[in-house]
Amino acid sequence: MKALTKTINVMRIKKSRKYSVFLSFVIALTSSMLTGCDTDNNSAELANAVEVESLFEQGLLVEEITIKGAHTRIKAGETQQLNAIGITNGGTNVDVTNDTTWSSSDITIATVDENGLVTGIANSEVNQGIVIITATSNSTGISGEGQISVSDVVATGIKLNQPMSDGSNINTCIAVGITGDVTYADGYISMNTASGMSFSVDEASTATIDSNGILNTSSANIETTSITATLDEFTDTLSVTASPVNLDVIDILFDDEIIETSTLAMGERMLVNGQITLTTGETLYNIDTAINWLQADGSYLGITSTGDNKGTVLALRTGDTQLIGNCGGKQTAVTMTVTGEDDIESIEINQDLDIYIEPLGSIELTLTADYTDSSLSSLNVSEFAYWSIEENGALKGEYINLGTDTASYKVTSIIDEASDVTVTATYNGEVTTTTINIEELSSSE
Amino acid sequence: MKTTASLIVLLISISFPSFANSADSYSVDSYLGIDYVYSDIEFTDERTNPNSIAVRAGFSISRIGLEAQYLQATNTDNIYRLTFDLEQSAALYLLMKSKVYNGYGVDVLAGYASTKMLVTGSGNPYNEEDTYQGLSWGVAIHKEIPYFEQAKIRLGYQSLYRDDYMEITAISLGVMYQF
Repeated sequence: MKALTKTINVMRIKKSRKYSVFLSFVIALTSSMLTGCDTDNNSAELANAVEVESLFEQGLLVEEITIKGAHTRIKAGETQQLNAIGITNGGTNVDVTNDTTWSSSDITIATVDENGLVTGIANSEVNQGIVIITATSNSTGISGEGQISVSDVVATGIKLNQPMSDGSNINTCIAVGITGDVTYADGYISMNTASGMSFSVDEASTATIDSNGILNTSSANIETTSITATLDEFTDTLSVTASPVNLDVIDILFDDEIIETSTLAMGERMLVNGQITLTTGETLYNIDTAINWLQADGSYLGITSTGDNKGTVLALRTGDTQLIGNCGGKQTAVTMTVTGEDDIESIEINQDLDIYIEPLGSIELTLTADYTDSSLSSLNVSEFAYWSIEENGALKGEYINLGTDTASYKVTSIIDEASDVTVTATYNGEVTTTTINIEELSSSE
Repeated sequence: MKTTASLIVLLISISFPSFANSADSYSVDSYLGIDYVYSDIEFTDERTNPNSIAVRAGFSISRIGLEAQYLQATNTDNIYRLTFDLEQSAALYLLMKSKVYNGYGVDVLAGYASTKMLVTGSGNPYNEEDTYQGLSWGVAIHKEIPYFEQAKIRLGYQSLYRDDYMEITAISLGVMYQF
């Protein structure tokens, strides 16, 4: 019996060893596979090819790139923003400036950053200072080129170009850029540029033009504007005709949605935008720079009508009114309701503190209205007050930071001598004054 | 990832000798199986589903063993103008089997797969045949077929390949015969 038991135990041990050996082999084999050689394939390229196919299917695959803003001359230290415009297989244009890799053919003359901003490094007379800037699509590898010239050779003439290549009228209310060709002494021609030019329009026109050559028109009638551009001692004049014939419908937008009504609490601010459609198509055009904003009646709203924050609306008095946007003879309105309490307790300039400035110095004046409603407490109404300066020729004033909570009336001393000048602010029937003391200030003040 | 998986497998295996020392006798199973495979090749925003036939063979001792698998494409599938052909795939797995309850059992597989895929494009310049190798894992459930001892129906899910750009997975349905 003992021998039998011993034999059985030996057999169990042998089986156990065999099983352990088998198990060790399995584990070793599996472990070696798990830590085995890594994959060697082009899954990244394949994934990119799939993405390209998806874009092609959607008609969004960029098949050609053109560079906008190129073929122009800058000096060392100046910059020029280029944009890469992709033409898709669907026939549309897309801005791919930030989806491309930019490079310069000679970084000793000009560099370009990842956003297409070219910086002139050194003026060059070799090959008219021309550098080739290349934009290569990150997804398709398609590239486009443009040239930039970096040189300080003097200009010899300018010629403004019609904004419409066929010379036809522009559409009123839709901003257009006015550019010209600049000829230089070495024969180089900077094309379609506004760089370095100053612009003006004739006084009879209702159009405006900014320092970048952006022309804004708003007349309800066909209007021809004479535009003058000056570069150094050279000048050119261009007649541009704007027509409202094709204008269709104006919409007022808030947060990119068309609105017909809106409610604001006292002291609340909102930014509205204007857009227009043409009878000739479905494209929507932003007309923020050309649209005129006004309210139907009363002073329920404070509307910023110029500057970067044009279209900002501030609720100033409780009640109902209409916010109207018009341009080119077209008009639309939004019913605005202002809620809350609008009883003013007092108004004050710069918290009624004494104001001192040095001769030729300046200070910002803020008119604050204090309300009886504790939930509102006070409101900066500087932008919508009427300011007047005592007429002694010592101060001039201008509104700044329009459309913001920090809007103010900035007064600047224009004579280099001491003086005391009274400034008056009138708002909602309330009047307050302050004295600007112009004098040399000691270091302790 | 691979090192961690190896360590996990090793740690699990340390406990197995205790089974080896049990008084129970060892069960040795070997089997052969054939599956229809619905594969899924997934990219960020697109996917395609070429199908295959898989043959598998394996054996286990006391519910742990090895399984070898071979996959052959039966058709191709497209992402727009790109045609995907999952030509063939070979894999070797460590097999861990659960106990069978009421005829149902679960298998867990961990191992290595090598998958060859041909992608061709008409109008798209991409034309490449590549091999995708790496860690592979799977899980399957099987059920004994009534009145047909040794035969089981099997439903499985596998991940054949995965990286930052794509993943190849498969759902398989088939039968296996146990010897």
